[in-house]
Amino acid sequence: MTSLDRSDRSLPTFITLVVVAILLMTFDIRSQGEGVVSVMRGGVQTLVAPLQRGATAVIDPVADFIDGLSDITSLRETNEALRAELAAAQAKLAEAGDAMARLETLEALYDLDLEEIEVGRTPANVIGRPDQFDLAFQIDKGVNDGVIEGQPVIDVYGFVVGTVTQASPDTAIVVPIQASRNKISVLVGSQTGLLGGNPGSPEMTLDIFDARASVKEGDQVVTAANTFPPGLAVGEVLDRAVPQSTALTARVMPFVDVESLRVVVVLAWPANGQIDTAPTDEAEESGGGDEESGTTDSTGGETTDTTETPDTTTADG
Amino acid sequence: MRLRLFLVPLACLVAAVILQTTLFSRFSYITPDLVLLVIILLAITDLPREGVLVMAFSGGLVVDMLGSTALGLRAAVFTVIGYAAVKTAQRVDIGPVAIALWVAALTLAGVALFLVVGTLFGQGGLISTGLARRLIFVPLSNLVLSFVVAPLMNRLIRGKVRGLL
Repeated sequence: MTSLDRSDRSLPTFITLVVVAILLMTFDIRSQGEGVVSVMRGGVQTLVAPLQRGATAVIDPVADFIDGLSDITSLRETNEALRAELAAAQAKLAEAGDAMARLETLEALYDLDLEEIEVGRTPANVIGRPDQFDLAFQIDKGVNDGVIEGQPVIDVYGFVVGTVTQASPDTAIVVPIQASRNKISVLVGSQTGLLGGNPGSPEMTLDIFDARASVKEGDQVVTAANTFPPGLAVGEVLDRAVPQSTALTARVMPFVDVESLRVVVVLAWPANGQIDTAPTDEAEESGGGDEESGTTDSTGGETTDTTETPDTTTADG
Repeated sequence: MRLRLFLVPLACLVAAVILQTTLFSRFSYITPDLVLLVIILLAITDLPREGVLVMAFSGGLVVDMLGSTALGLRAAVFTVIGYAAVKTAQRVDIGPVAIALWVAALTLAGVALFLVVGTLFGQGGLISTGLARRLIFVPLSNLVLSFVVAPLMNRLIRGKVRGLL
């Protein structure tokens, strides 16, 4: 049974620890995660990352196998749905090809030379998530790989994921846009708005304050040049919304399912602060390289190097 | 022997953090809070009560540092649940089923407290998608896992609950 012979100092210990925790929380919130707190987080991440990498290396193949078994029943339906989506996408691509040809003709006619923005890319593996309630996740690339705070993160298909909020030498923490306290600047057609998350919901809210037209279901939401490179696909409008006076609010479903992400790509943005990322064998070995190559292939960019090749950001969308 | 009494719980805690952040973050429905589970179960071992509280605080702090929420949020919540666990541990000294129910109740309390305190401290983003599902599945997963983890920890750290071994 319990050791009642010992003097019970649990209450003072409890009070002390809770007070320390609350002080830490207050300090962290007031310092916005900078300074000592940032150093502490970086230190712990550096210590834990090797263990997480090791665990991930063992767990991933087993978990993939289990996932594969559980997914077999739904594969046929998924396959059919994907065929339908592919047909629709091919039709849209044909339309886009026509529009691009006309754009090139007009550019040549008016002697326009639109500057293409080049953004460095660093593929990274997701190595950990704190718990079931925090959408943030850890990646296996850090400052040593050119990943710094504030850089945007996309998935392997070019859809917006979130932002790096904390970078230690070998790891970084990414907060998805759904969980971020900051709204992001987006474009829907020609209208600019702000997109923010809704706690407890996978949907996001789009606010357009100088709305000139309504938005309709299926309208694509892409990033406007600000904290993210312009033209990255974020999501699509879920239902029609009309301006009330000059303001408009609409529901948006992001394209990315944050919880299923395994590989992401960190962008060296803004482009003028581009970081010369070193190519890493590790990324290629762990599958990130393949994923990244697939991305650049599908977007029409050059595929000479998995980590360093700058690509046009507008192609991502 | 006394050193072992602290090293083994520490090793259990580290293992829980690693498994929680890598393995159990991958599943949609098997969603235990393994760190919280280990902290609750430490209360039914021979580890001193103060030791349980320090472990709870440390475990919470490490998970805080691996996430995006305010530093100290989980540390505070885990310490409160650890305290509740050491104060109620004697009442579940009847067997594995009682322990499992006790674990589920404390986990539910921990999850609710985490959400309330987090929201009060402006950590709205932590209330991720599928809140209701998680509120059910986290305690439920801990309940099921306790049938495996409790005897294991009881064996590793000189447990004091009857009927587990």
